[in-house]
This record gives sequence, C-alpha cells and structure tokens, in this order.
Amino acid sequence: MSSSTNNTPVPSTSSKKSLKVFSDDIWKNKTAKINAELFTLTYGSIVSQLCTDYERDFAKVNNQLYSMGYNIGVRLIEDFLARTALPRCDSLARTSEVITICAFKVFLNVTPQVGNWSSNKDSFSLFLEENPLSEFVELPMDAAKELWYSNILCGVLKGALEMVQMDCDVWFVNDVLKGDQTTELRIKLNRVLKDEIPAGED
Amino acid sequence: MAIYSFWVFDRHCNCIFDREWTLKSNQSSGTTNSKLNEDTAKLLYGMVYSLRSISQKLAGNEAHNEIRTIATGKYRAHILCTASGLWFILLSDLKQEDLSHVLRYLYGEIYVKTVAHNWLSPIDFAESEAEKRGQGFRKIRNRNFLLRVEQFLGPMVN
Amino acid sequence: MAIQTILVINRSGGLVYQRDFLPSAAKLTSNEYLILAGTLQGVVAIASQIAPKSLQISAKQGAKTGSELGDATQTVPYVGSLGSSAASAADLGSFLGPDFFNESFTSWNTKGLKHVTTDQNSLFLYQTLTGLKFVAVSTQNTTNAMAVSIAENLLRKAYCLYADYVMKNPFYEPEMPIRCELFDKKLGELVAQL
Repeated sequence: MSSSTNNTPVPSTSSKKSLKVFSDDIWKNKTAKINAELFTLTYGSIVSQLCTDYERDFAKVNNQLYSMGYNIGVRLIEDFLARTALPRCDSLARTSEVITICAFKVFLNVTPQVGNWSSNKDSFSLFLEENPLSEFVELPMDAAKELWYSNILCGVLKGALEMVQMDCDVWFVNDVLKGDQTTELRIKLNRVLKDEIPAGED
Repeated sequence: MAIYSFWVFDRHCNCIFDREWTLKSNQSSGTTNSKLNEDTAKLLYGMVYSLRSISQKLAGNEAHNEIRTIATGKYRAHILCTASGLWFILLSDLKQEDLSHVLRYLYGEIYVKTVAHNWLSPIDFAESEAEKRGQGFRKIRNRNFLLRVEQFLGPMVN
Repeated sequence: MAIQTILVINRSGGLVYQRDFLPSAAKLTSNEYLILAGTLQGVVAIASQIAPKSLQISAKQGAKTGSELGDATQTVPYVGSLGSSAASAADLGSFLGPDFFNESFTSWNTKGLKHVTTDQNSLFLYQTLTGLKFVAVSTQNTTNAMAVSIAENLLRKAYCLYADYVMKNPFYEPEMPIRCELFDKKLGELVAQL
C-alpha cells in the first residue's frame, strides 16, 4: 500500500504533519465521545433491520444505507467545518488528506490510507485498515455477495463533498467482510460545482 | 496609509469622478475618470445603495442611519453621503479604520471650493433627462479639483 | 456592544432564522427581513467583484504566503462559552465538553462582505464554506479590529450551535426555516454572556 501512496501528487509532508497534529488535538480535546460498542451495535441493528424490511434484497439495502449516509453527510459537514474552521482545499490531494487525516480521525478515530490515484488525479482510494462499523461482523452466506455492509460511509462522503461543491462518486471496491484482502473505498471527482461556490472566496 | 481609489457619485446615480491608483509605489499611477471603470462604478454604487437601504430599515423611522464603512477581507470602503445626494467613497486597506475626516475634507475643502464655488463649473453633471436616469457620462474635469485631489490623496497612496 | 439581531441566511439567499435580542430594536416586518437577506446575498457577491486593481496586481506579483491552520491560538475575550456551564455535570463526566472553541480562528471568506458600519449600527457577516451566512447586527458602530474579531468569533460559535442543534436535529429539514427551541435557547445564552 505504501507504494500506491507514493504517487500522491505533491505530498507536502509538513502540511500533512500539521494537519495531523491539528486533528489529533480536535479528537482528543474537542470531541464528545461515547462507547464504541454502543455505536457498532446501533449501526449493526440498523443494517440487519433493513435486511429484514427489504426481504433480503441487498441491492435495496445498499441503496438505503447510501441515502441514509447522504442525509447524514449534508448535515455532518456543517459540524466538521464549524469544528475545524478549515479552509477550502486547493487540490484533490489536499481533499484526500483532509478526509483521511482529519475527518475520519475526528469522527471515527481511524486514519485510512490514501492510494491508487488515477493517472489524471481525479480519483483515489481509501484503504480502511480498521473499520469501526464492522468490528464484530460476519456476513451471512446470502449477503456476502451483494451487501456492502458499510455503504453508509459512501453516502456520508458523497453528501459532505457535495455541500462543499464537489460532485463526486463514492463506492466500495473491496471489503474484508467479503473475503477481500483490503477494505477499499473509491472516490471519483466528477466536477467542481463552480457556480455554487459562495461568492467571496479566492 | 494605503488608499486604493476615490469615487464621487451625484444624485442621479452617475459616477462623476473616479480616481484609481494601481501601484502603491507610484502616486501618479493608475487612472482618472476612466471608461474602464464604468462597470466597477456601477457595482460599487449598487453595493452602497443596497446597504444604505438596509441601514435605513434597521434604524426604523426615528433617525437617519447613514452608512459609514463597508469592509471585506481585502479592502474597506469609507462612505460619506451628503444631504444634497452626493456620495464620496474612498477605498482603503483594512488598517484604515475611519477616514470620515478625510472624506469631510474632500467634500468641504475641495469639492465645495473648486466645484460648487466655481461659477464656471456645472454642479449638476446631468444635462438631459436620460443622463438623470443613470445614463450620465460627464465627469468633473475641473483642473483645480483634479490637482487638489492629487495633492491631498497622493501622499496617502503608499 | 449589544447584539440587536442575529440572522441566518441559507446558501440560496433565503432567510432561515431571525431573532431580535433587544426589545428596543426597530421592528422589521418578516417581509422586510426576507428582502434584507436577499440583498445581503447580492452584496456579498458584488463586494468580491470590485476589489481594487492595485490589490489584484500585487496579488499576482507576490507569491501566496498564507500560513495554514492559523498559528495564533490566543483565547478570544468576551465571547461566551458554549456547552454546559453547570460545573456539577462536568464533575460527573458529561459527554458534552465544556467549550471546545475558545481559540480564535481565521475566516476564509477573504473577498466577500464582512462588516458594515452605519451611524447607529454595525453589521457583521460570517460565511461558511457551504455558503451559509451568519449575520449579526449590533447597536454600536465600530471598526475596531478587536470588536470585529469578537463578532466574528461570536458568529463562528453561532455556527457551532447551528451544527449541533439544527443540523443534528433529525427532524430539521435542510434549507428550511429554523424552528428549534434548543437552538433558540443556546443562542440566547451565548448572546447574553457577551
């Protein structure tokens, strides 16, 4: 994975480091914390309830998780910005740093690795080494093929990025729950919604 | 001290004088009464006009509530609205917190003395009906006015 | 400096929240407030269009030297704190911390409208990256840098309250007028502490 992170455009180590210190501080001192098991159980019960409600039609469950995530994302971004007061990112590379080092850290206390940049630098992958959502999960046989257990994350990222005027596609490529080697989440920037960027920024 | 530009609007919404300095290091740089500034003048007028209407509303019916300054992250606009409907506007950097005395001087000592007291200069720069509806193009070309503005504001540019 | 009114304007220029804090403040009709919000939305855009030429020239010449993540972490005076003020709750370990946002911050809205003074009032505006605008009207005209920074931090805290009590309220519909009692209450407390 370290080889794939090497092709990150302009890996500004110093800014990355200060972002890390900054994020650690927010996580340590400025974040309300609750028990992680309670969180994992809550999410698990939602997913399993959805599977029941949709009569084990896992494509529908994926969609439902995604749209729930989207609705969370459009709200959560305000919390993120209010909390961090970070500026707009000047490049997608910077966006990837802020998402992994700052956002994932602050909200989930994990830091995914960034990698697999596309050649034109418009898409990248997040590798989740640990995933608080699926800590204790084993997928049942019928779900293993189709269900993206943590699909809510895609929705959250989609919604949050859209609110800062970045139109992106977000989807899971691999999940260790399905027997893959890694849990990989892909983000592809379609375009920046220039017209919607609020007036007054550089 | 750093000022960026100076504008005068008459009561017909026309810009009758504009002076913009483009280089901090050079007092004589920039433009005077430039055609290129027409659009900027309109935007500036629109901004001040909108904010004036807001400030009037905020004050209720009781009193005048004229607008004084407008600040963005990059510059500050200082505004003097006279009862006769003239607007004097100075754009400066953010360190200048209050230039109302400068505007008073520009009005009382420069405009009044070189334009209003000058019988050979028009005081209403709109000569036809259309010009009174914002189509005006006439500017203050009075040499004394130009000279004294330059003398007074020039040293504040850098 | 007394805060007369606080407004929240959504990203399309619609007024979603308005609250008067002084009984003496001039009463505007709700329609007038809506117009005011729309006007401000326009003015923010205009203000960013007419930056002086000399600034544009010097910006092109000088390389950008913006330091990231403002190094100054001085505490902002006079702005009240959020969160539980009851010390007893904190002793038992409230999951809400006392106040997370005491250090000052940089507003990234660099070109748009920030601050207007008139004979009687000051109007402060804080715009978020999502295009939301928080506006405060105070009863004193001042261009003092300290006052501006206090007001900006007040609005930033109002944004934190918004993120907590409006965006996290599952029954609030985004972009719609804010009717959240908790937000009202907390905002009232924040302004009262000023």
